[in-house]
Amino acid sequence: MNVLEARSLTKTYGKKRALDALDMSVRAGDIYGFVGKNGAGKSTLMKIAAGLIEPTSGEISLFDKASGSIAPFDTAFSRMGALIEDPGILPTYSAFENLMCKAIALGVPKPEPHCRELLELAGLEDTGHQPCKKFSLGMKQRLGIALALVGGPDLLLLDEPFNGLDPEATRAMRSTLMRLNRERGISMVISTHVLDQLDRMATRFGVIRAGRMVLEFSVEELHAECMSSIRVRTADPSRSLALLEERIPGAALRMEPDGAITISSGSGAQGTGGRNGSALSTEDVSRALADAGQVILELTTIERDIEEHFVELMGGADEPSGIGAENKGARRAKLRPRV
Amino acid sequence: MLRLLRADWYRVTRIRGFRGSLWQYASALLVFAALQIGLILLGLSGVLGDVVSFSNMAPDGSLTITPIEYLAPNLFGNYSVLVFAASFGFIEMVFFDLTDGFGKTLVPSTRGHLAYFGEKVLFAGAWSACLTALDIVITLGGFALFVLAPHGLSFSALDSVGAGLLWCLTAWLATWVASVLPLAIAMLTRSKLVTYGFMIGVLLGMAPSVLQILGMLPGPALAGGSFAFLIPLGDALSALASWMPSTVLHALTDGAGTMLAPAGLPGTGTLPTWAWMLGTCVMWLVLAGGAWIAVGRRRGL
Repeated sequence: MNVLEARSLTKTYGKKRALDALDMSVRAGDIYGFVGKNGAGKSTLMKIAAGLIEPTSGEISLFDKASGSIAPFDTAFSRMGALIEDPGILPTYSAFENLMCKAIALGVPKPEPHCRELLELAGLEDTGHQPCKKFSLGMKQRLGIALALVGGPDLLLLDEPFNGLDPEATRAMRSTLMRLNRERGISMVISTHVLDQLDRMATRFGVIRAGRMVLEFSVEELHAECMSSIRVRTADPSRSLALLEERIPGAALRMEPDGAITISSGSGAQGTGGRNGSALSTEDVSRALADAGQVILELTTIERDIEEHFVELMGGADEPSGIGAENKGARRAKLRPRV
Repeated sequence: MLRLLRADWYRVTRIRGFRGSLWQYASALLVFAALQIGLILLGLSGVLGDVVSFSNMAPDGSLTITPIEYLAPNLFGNYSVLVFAASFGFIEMVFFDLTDGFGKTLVPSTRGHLAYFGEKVLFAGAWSACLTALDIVITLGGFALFVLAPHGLSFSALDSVGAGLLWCLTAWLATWVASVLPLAIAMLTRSKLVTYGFMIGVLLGMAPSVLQILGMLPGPALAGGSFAFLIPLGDALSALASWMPSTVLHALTDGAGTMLAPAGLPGTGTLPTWAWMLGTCVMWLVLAGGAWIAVGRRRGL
């Protein structure tokens, strides 16, 4: 089941198109990482999904209930929690009172223990009766996430949830969200600029640019695209290239100007090394060349930056430049941006 | 919607640190009632001679007013603390939702916008009922406790039950209207300055004053002049002024005695006062509530 699906979603503000026929799908159980530049349309989509604003055209469905069917669609909202932009809290009330207000509004049975549990989850159990206006930004952010969790939603929409959190709090929040996903099956859509955190938790990604979805892909596809490449230099580069083509089928091979060979693994390039036998390793390359009597002069692993890959998708995908630009097409052979 | 009402009730009744706005504004009503009673006691004592005197005393020392005749000017006089408290207290609460973003926290998990906006109109009714009832109790109770009892005084007569109930009902409805009127302005402008300014203008009776002035302008002297276009509208403008909320608020200061009599205002025909008041309040509740819902659904949270 798709917990969230957008079809040709468009939102215009005057002459500006914040969303332009955007398609998106989030499956049940996903932690969906939503990435894009500032002003790309992430928050607009999140607000539409949260029911805060209406789209200009297109359709959005929650839990397979389309927006055209009003009553079931409205009911779907009760299964969703959201933290959009700022954490919306009542500043003169305590954290507990804020949670209680929402819990009562949702009709949560036994709201008090539920709210105390959420306070503990957010690490705010010691705030007592302190009004929220005295909280730090990080504390407010954690309260915002706790508010989104009131009522045990099946879908969380989190817009920049790591804002204002220190590294330890970020790690704690990430662990909590992953645990909620794993133990309670809560699906999540997380938009953030902190790619490092997304990489550690998301199961699928969507990249938006100028209001349009550029690409959606799984974490496996991301890692396959961005996985490390191996650089090898031998005494006989031409012979080595031919050997590697024969012995490691499916790998993307490139001869560098200095005679070294760069090997990137595609999905067909299975190695016998590595932890799970499915990734190409230096051991595989070394064995393939040594068995053929090739003298290896250099053998190193080159890591590709995931952030660089995302930055390309967000705004640089159609403007390749610089060293390695000619290889970008080959690397992205399996992940084609939408046009 | 019932859950939203309960949640809002929870918000306004938090007593710790006087966080709940009900206690904050009830305190303002209490202070004002105390000041009024203080002035009355000062007047009765004669300490300041004729500078401060209690005007509702007959030469024989008995009171010349009924309970509602005492209540009416205290609740709805020139600067009605009750109406200001109801209106401003509610605006403050709504702005917490709009500008502090608590509304965004609520709406994704509730049944869409309609329930949220509709509930706010209903809660304004509960809020104003509570404040009106509190103010009646504080004002009358304080008067009975600190003025009547110690001085052996009693009201000249009691208001008739029917007229009294009608007055209380209209008092509540007029206060409800004052709470709901600024909502659409708040949603449109998201500006506290504009919203509060608008309400001050309404509560000071600017709208009916302007309409009445415009209604009086046309005359033989103006025929052919700049305001000639108003000549056919004169009666309509004066009638429109009669149907403004602040006109009802002003009329409430007359007490319950006039409730059953014809209103006698332009555009009210032979309608009794209570019917004109109720009609005006219901009309403005529908208009203001409808505007709030319409603007809110279009603009979003």
